[in-house]
Amino acid sequence: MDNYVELKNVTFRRDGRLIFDDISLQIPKGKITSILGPSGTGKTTLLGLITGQLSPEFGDVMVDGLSVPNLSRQALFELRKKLSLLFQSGALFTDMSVFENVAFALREHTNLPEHMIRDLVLLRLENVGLRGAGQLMPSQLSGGMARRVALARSIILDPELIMYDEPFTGQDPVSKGVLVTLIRSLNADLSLTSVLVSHDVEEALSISDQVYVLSHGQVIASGTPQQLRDSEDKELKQFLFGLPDGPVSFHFPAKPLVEEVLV
Amino acid sequence: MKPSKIMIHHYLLNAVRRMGINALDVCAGFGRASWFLVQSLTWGKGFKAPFSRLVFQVYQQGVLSLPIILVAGLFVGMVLALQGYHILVGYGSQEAVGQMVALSILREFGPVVSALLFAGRAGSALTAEIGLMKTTEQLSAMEIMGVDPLKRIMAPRLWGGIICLPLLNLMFCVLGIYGGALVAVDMLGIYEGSYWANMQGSVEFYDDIVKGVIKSLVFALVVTWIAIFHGWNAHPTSQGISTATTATVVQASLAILALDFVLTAVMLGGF
Amino acid sequence: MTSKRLEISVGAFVIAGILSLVVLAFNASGLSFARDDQSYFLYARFENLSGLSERAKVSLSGVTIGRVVSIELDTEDYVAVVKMAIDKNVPLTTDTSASILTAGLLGEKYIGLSVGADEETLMNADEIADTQSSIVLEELIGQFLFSRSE
Repeated sequence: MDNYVELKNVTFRRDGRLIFDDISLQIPKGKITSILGPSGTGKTTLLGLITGQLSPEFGDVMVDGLSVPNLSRQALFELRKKLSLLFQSGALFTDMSVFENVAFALREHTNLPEHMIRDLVLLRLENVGLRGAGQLMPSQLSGGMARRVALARSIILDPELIMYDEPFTGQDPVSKGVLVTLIRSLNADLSLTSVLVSHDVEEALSISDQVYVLSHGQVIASGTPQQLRDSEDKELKQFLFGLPDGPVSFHFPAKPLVEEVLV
Repeated sequence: MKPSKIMIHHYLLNAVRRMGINALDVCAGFGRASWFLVQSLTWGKGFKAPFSRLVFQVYQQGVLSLPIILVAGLFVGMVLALQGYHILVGYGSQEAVGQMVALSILREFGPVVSALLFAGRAGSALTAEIGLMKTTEQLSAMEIMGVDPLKRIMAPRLWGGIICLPLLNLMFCVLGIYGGALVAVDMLGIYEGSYWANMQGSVEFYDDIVKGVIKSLVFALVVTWIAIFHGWNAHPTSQGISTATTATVVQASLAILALDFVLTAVMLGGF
Repeated sequence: MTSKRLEISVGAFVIAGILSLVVLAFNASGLSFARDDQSYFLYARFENLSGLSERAKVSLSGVTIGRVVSIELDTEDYVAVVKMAIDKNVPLTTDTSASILTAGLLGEKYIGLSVGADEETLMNADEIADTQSSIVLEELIGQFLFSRSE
């Protein structure tokens, strides 16, 4: 099966701290892949490596057959037209209306006439259920609505790869359900490759075809959601089922309680 | 414990090493800032959209700065006339107050004070705005969509500043000179004809007015550059934005005063 | 703020700025003197300029009719050659005299012209023959002391 994205032996450091230590992963084309892990493991950094905003210290990042760290500015620019990234906060442009936000990439990269732009924007807003919200400003939207608009904005140019950075974090159950449905249906309808970065285990597992779990800069598990659920690995189990104590200890290192309290 | 010679040696060596690293950092900072400036001066393809963005910036930085600039100009001119009169009256040359007010304002007070006010008002607003865009990841989003934020966001702001400050300076000067006339003629009793005639006899268009505008242009470039650079580099936290805004105002103000000395020295007599 | 109103205010701002420049140019610097096509040039030689600078006024009966355009040194005769631009509408007789005068006690130097009785007038690039150098304070005192001692 074809891999749209491949990380080969990537090592990455930030401010001296080792974020990724010789990791390799493959994102298959046309499928939904989730990257899970505790907060702070560098999942967002991974997305930065794929878009070329960050460069690995060692190793290679291949996207659609191209080696991203070695691309020229022009080539990187061209590649980015095929990618899209949905930020945790949506990152809508606050000085433009919802309509203008979604139309942004069309206006910048194409010379389409105004009526075509209008049609495309409305279709995409329809996809996310916000066709009537075109004239609102980002400050008037709720968090969930802002994310859906950002989603519409990121698919306007029919990308090949779409990355979601913590899409479910801080959302109420209804919004989560809406997003889950959207991610799944968009992936199927538009033949996208989707990469989901999250620590919301249940939602991610429910729609993924493949899962990677990262911890301390390493891949500690990979496979289908069912394989992960069946796994016996202690660290994995603690993370997947939200167990309070296990390899990641509940107690911060300290002297025994008896010593501290009774003496 | 008495510090041994070796410890002092170590300490000194470390201090020198740190100085060297700091110097290299400052150098690197200048390098990044220069590259940033060059990238921000061009605005990419098309004309209509970039132009309307520029127009919006001229509104934000120029039109909205008018109140503070005009009021400041008026009061500076009035104070200069008042103080000037009291100095000149001691030499019996109070008729020359028009000349004094005009030359002081056109050569120094106009460009410098308007630049300082601009740095405080428009400069800090720019830094905060860009810093906020960075914090909410708008700049990153734009980059990933294949649009260079330097050309789309920074360039109009940079050119907006370059256009606005010289114009604001000119308006400051007009209000200052007429404010001075108000005080000198109506309040202090100087003959109106003398105020203006003395001034016109000693103010040179090229030497005073044009050079003042040139100073203003230099200040405009430096202040706006500093403002957008700090916004671009701000730490994406509220603390980071506040630090960046303060840095803009402080550094821009110092740069204005330092450059003013250099420019004045060059203009008045060359090195 | 609608787009139209915004554009209008920006336009007004820019116009106000340019107008300020114009106001300053004419009211603060007295830049009203016409350009080359409205003036003709005359030369005058002086032994001592003593403070006369370029762009100094040239006046006739107290009215400014021109400007000093350039000042050069004639290395053969060792005199200063001053080139003046005079308003075309002011004809000067060939026996016009030019003196370097001081405006006020501590004021700047300017050239004062005094017209004679000749019928012919000076043409472009002519030279004013009758010139009086500026009065140098030290020489004046020296003259005074010298004459007193007699």
